[in-house]
Amino acid sequence: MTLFKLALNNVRHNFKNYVSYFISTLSSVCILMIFYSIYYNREIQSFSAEKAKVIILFKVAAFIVIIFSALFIGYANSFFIKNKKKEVALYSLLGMKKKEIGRLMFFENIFLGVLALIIGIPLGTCASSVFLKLLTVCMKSDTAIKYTFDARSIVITVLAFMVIFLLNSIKAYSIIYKYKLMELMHADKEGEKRPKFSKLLALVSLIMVGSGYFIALNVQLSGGIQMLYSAIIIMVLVIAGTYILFNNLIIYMFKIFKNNKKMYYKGENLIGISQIIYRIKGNSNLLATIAVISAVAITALCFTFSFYMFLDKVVPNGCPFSIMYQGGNEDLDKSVEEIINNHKENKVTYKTDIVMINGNGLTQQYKGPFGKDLKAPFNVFVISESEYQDIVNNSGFNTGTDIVERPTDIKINKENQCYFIELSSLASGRGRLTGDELNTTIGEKSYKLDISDSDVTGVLGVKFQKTTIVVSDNFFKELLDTNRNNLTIIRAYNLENPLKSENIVSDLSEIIPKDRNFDSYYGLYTWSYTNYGSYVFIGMFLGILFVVSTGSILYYKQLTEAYEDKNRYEILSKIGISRKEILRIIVKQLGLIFGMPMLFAIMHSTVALGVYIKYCANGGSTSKYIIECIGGMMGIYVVIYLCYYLLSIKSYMKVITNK
Amino acid sequence: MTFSVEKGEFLGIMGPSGSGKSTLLNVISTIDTPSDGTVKIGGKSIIHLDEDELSNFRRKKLGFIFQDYNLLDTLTIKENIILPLSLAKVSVTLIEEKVKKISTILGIDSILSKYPYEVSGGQKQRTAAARAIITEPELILADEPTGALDSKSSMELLGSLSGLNKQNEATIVMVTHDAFAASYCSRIIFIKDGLLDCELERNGSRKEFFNEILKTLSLVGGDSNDIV
Repeated sequence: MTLFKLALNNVRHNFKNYVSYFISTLSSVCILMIFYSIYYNREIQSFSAEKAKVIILFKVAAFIVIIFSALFIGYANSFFIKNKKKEVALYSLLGMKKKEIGRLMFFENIFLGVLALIIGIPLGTCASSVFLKLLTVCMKSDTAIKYTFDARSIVITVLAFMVIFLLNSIKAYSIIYKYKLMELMHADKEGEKRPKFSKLLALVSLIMVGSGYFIALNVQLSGGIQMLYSAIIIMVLVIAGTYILFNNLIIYMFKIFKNNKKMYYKGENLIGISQIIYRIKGNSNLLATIAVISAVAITALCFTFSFYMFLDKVVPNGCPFSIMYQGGNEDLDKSVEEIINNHKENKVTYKTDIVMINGNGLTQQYKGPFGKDLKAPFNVFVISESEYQDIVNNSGFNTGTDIVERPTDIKINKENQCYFIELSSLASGRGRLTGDELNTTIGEKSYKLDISDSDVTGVLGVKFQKTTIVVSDNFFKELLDTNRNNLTIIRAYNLENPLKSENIVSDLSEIIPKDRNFDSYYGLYTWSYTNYGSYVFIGMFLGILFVVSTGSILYYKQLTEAYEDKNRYEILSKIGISRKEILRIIVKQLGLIFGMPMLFAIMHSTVALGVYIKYCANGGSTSKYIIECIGGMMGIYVVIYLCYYLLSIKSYMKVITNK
Repeated sequence: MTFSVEKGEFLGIMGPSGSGKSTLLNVISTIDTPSDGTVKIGGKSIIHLDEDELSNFRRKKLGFIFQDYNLLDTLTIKENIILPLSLAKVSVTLIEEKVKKISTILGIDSILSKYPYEVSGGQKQRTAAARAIITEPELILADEPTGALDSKSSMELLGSLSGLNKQNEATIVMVTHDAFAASYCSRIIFIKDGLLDCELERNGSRKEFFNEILKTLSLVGGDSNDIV
């Protein structure tokens, strides 16, 4: 029998032992295949070619998927090898040469890998069309993206996995040379060494994670290179801290528990805790890895999900009416009206002309839009208080979907007072400029106005947005008389069903000239979803990939341990420990194994998301809404993870009670 | 085959390999279930106990010294010994007191903080014995308890077993090949091919009993090497 045949037979006859390794490999192949099928999809390619950011995002994600597949298969491989060490020792004992056994392991690995590729590639291809549908849903696009075959996706998947398999096979091959026969025979006694740890490092890990959190929560998000540096510092501190923490602090804490005889000698703790301590050294790097990956996954999922949910709510802010354009031209107004009336399926529910006077101004604190210092007067729109109220009450702000609240209780008591609307990236800033003085020139005259109230929430949408001042109706009338030729008028319509106004919008966009700033709710809505849908999709894809693989890694790890523990539980049963008690021990033991990384993952991601919330929305209903989204998503993540926990308990029990 | 054991008796079971001694012990201990027949302890059948009752019985009434020790390699020697006590939620002070006493008797007090794979076979066997008797059970089952011991430690173990038997009125059933170990018993039954062959009761001194056992063994034909 040739070595190759022996390897082939090994796989065929011991398939049960190979199943868990094979499934891990297969799912990694599938995931990579799905991802690259989408990446190389013709429509996605042509779509993302226009947007540099989407391409970069896809590239980064593709890189993460490959790295992650390698990590995942690497873990699966080391469990696999661990289970095989005895077999290897037996071959060695029977007189096989190291070289031969090494080659045997190598062939076995390659064979499994090739099999995974042969099955995984068609499977991944099929699955990718499902994921493309999901992407379509994310983009809220009416036309489905069709699956297109691209050989490059297969080539990349095969290449990536060939490298991964080769590395794993080399690792398997080298095991033979690294270990002595005796060590291989007692492979299942590995990890038995009494865990070592350092109290100093335990403290250091706490300081590292703590200071990472501190910097994250206190650094000013100013953008630019400085923010990047602090982000890297935070990442390094927290990730390295987590690894050191799991290798030292956690062990230290168990040791403290062990020294508390009152607790340790109570009931099942003795068995459960000693089992964990027995394994902790071999597990701590895995647990730390899972904590870090889960933290990244939770953060990515929560961020993209809340962002996506948020998208719906910010469209009215971008375009408060169904149809908006710069009016004032009678011919244009007439033909627009005609087109809208021709579409009988979508009735007009509201129509208005927003009349604004052009001017410019200068204040002490506010020197230009978005924190710029223009060193010269900035342009402003002047509108009347009743106009402001009309917009707030009749536009899309009022449909309940918009979450940016606009003040309706603005305080303009005297004629020389105004309500000042900043153009700003701040999430909130009501009353920031109150008490400041505005020097403004409107038409030919100059005025001094007291800013009695201010906010950062504009009411004109993105195409018309400009620093806006709201003045009393009387003063506005006065201004209007002298500024008849200095007006900007926005013609705005609300339709019964703005999301079904595709035809109206496309007809109108043909006749309204570009300089008339035509904008529509429908247009902005579809633009937002096609643009950000792919970000969300990638975030979700990675999130799902992470939760599934971390769950599976822990599951397989527990299963491997269950086989090693089987004998121990038989002993326990012999000395009179009931099934119920064994179940309790396992629930506790696995609970700690699954719980510890999740606890740190949630802590890490809560801090990261806290920064996001702080930056995006300072209090108010916006942040409440984001917190709800994040909470919901975290809940879902934890529930999926919990399923793996319960599944592990079930399988663990099955393994140890099965005679 | 039918036999009964009185409370407070120290019964020995002898017989050649494969005669069913260990199976008998496993059936009594409820680890194995018999294909036929019943086992009554304290007048109550233990054959049809449910899961919970079984483990309760094993934990509270029974101390089993296994031939293959059955120690947990994740626990230290001390933790192995106190396992039954900790499961019974005995107070820490009492646990410490008992473990000190019993480990001194069995001569394993110096290895308490070691792990099973770090100690010798004899020490493991004594640990298994310590675990079985630390709860002072009513019934102690011992499967070749002296198999891995040198003569000195086997004397010590047998001494402490017979001490338990006398002071606590613990009932002991011991399977052994070793005529010397058997001589500590108050009665011995010999089985052959799963059937009761003959019985021997101790009347005089241990020395006399030992000679009697040897004689019987040569008659019933135990393993020849055991006789020497």
